[in-house]
Amino acid sequence: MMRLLFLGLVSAIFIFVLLPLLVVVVVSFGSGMTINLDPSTFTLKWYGVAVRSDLFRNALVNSTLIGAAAAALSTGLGLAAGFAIARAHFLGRSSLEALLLSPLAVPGIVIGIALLMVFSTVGLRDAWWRLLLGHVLLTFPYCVRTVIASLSRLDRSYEDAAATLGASRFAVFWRVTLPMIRPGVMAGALFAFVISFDNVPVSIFLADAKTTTVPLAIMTYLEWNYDPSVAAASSIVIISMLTFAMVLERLAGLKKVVGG
Amino acid sequence: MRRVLLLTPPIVVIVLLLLVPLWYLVDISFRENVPGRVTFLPGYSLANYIAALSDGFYLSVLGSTILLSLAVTLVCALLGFPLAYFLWRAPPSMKGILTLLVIAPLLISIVVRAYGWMVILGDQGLLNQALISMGLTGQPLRIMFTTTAMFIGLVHVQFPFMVLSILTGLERIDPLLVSAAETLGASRLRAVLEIVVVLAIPGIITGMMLVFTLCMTAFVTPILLGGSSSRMMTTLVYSQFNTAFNWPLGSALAIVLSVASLVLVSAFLMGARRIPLVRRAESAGSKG
Amino acid sequence: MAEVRLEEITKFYGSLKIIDKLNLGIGSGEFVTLLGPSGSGKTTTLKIVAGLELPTSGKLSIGGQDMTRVPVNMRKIGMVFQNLALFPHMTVAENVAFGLRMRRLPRARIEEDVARALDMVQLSRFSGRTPDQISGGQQQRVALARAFVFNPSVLLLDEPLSALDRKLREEMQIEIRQLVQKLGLTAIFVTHDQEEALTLSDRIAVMNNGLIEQCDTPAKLFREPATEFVATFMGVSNMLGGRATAGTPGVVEVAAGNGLLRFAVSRPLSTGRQVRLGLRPEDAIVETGPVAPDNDRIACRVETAIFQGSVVALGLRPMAAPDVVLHARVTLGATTEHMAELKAGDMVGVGWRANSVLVYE
Repeated sequence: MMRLLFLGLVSAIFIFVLLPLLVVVVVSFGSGMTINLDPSTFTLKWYGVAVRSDLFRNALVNSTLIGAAAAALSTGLGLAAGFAIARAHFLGRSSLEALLLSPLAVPGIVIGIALLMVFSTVGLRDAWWRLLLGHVLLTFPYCVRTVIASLSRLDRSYEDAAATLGASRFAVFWRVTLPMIRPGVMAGALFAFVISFDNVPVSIFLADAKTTTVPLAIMTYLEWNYDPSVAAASSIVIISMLTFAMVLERLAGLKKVVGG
Repeated sequence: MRRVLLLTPPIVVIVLLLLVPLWYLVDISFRENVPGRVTFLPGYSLANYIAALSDGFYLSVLGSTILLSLAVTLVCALLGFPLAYFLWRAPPSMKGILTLLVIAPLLISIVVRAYGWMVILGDQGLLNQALISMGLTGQPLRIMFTTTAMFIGLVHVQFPFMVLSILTGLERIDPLLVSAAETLGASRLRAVLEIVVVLAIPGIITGMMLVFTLCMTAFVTPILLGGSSSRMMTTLVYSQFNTAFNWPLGSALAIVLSVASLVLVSAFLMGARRIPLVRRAESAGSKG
Repeated sequence: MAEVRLEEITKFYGSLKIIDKLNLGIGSGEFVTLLGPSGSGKTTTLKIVAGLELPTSGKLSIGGQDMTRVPVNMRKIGMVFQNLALFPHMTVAENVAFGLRMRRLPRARIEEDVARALDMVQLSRFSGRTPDQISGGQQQRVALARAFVFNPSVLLLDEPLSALDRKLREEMQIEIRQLVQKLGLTAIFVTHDQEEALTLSDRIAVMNNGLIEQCDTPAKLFREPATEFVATFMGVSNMLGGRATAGTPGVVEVAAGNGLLRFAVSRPLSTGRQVRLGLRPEDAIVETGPVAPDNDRIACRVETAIFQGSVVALGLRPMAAPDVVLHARVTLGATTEHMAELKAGDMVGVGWRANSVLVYE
């Protein structure tokens, strides 16, 4: 009896968690804003509208490019920091690690307004660069974390074996260490891309009318429009992100990347 | 030497993109605004903080932000524990997929999630459609753009964080302890309450601290689901920057918000640690 | 204290049969050990008695009552787990009191019983400590006290001593035995350690592949192992397959490699019958020096001779069948002192009295 109640509660919670996402996908096929579960009325026309929308297309290009660039830069920074810190015990190591991970502790909105003010004062007006720099700040701590975790888990004896077989320090790094931490590093890079793509609290202060990101575009659209093309655009986002999630899980285990 | 070289770029990024802007933020919060323009009067003043902390309106917004965050935190904890327990005891074959289902929403843009709730809670949304067709109400219930909508949206957004925190804490508990309690005569429910819940307290506390902080500084969900009735500090800060161009006041409000959040969370932690049961749970966990 | 009866207990995990029509009766106050290798089903059997697992079919009764499907928390059993499972957030006293609390006994009574139990295991001084503040041996005793304080019908112990070092283990074995006897509890103990089983038990049930191969007193098990498996488990490390060549009394020829070894046995055999012989190393009669042709000892060359204090363990290769290794353990005494000097390459003769040879058909 208790068991049934419990399972009922858990199922209800699961439904609560997944409902909004399912609803968005269903609406995207619909002919109106009301939920229509009758498959005969399903249409792809809203996907067409979304894809044809200039706003959405530009935003998609921006988000993808900035996301990729931020992920690349963050991965580089993460590798540098990770290699410098992992497996080393020196005075101040934990403080240094905390410092490098500190952006994770500052509220997004605070980072957003602070960067906005500094960029304006310094004269950096190009929204593209503002967004890129902001996203790099937000994402590189995740890369640092995954690199450090991957290196800590890596058994040193592989590198030692390579060295005894005559490999130079660089060769050990390039041919042994790097390939072996690749799954973890790639997971970090993917995660950085997703964080950048989805971000709002910082991006909203750094974007402008000409250069905007997908979430911001959706928000703008929602202000004066209520048709299912938003749902279609959102569904595209949901499906791509879920795919990323599965790839991430395969590569490195989602819990480790998100939960730290 | 190599280490210094490697660390230079990351540290430069942190300094230039985080520390300097934050310092700048604090600096600006002590300046006075020139109305309507993005410039400030020379010299420092406490005017912004005085306004933020004594103006009835600002205080009431802060108050409602805190109350809402508290409510969301509590509900997340109450709903999060059963789900985390379920995942903890799930057979290994199902565990991965089920956990993924709970965590995956985190990877989907917060805007999309908020939009999903708009569709559900709207006047012609799923909830109202269902209620009307079941005859439970004649008129559509107005939920969108109310505090209730914000509440539901925030619970949904923060929920995975709570579940993850509690689950991490649960994984350190030996499941055999439940069996041991049962052999000693405890019903399953009793065993869970006396053993699992107690030992999970550190994880629950961590989750609550995390969720509370995230709620206080939550931005997108309140704006999209609360609209103009959203009395949250973050909306206030946003309007100072977007509409009023009063950077100093906006900065001061943001700092007041952050400090309030920090103070409340610390007070909670210290207060919790005074409870003997909490102390026991923490020391039991640290040796486990 | 109560009697426990398992009737035709069968357990499947999916399509895997873990326990196969197991029958076992345990008298009130008896100490029975389930002995066997991992995978033999001994722990599963214990869990079925506890109620932590349900049998696929069969009946379990405790104290004459059918307990087969009774939930675990309603059986009055006390269990000591392999990793002890002491509640880390409770003190020693609270751990021990837990079972009494669940039975809603009045507070005063609980305090009394806990104090008495802790006194019996000599841990009264530590009642306020938490499990991480006491040693491994003390934790063991807390786990015991927690399990017997409420006078369970049966005490179940799941390899509780496997994590302890040798000396502590032996001490705890004696303590457990004395405690159980003093309280008159029925006890079921699970282990894979043959010596431990021999020390503790009134009877031992040797299990293999979900079956009880033999259930007997330690002495009988040792001297008269009923099956080959039990014999090997009890240390009969010479197992040879051969053919009976003569009937009464039986003689068995063991063919190995190019040679033949001959053993006399004390039971009648039908000629031509294939049998397995078990030769206990301790029963071997070893004589130094070359063997005379008319002597029925087997001439062997010593391959290994390991001095173990009061015993010397010999690995012997018969000249007639060098593919075989015969194990012998000679207790060093007045007449056998010189055996300690044996080394590889020496020649000896070895034999077993007919009535000490175990025959399995």
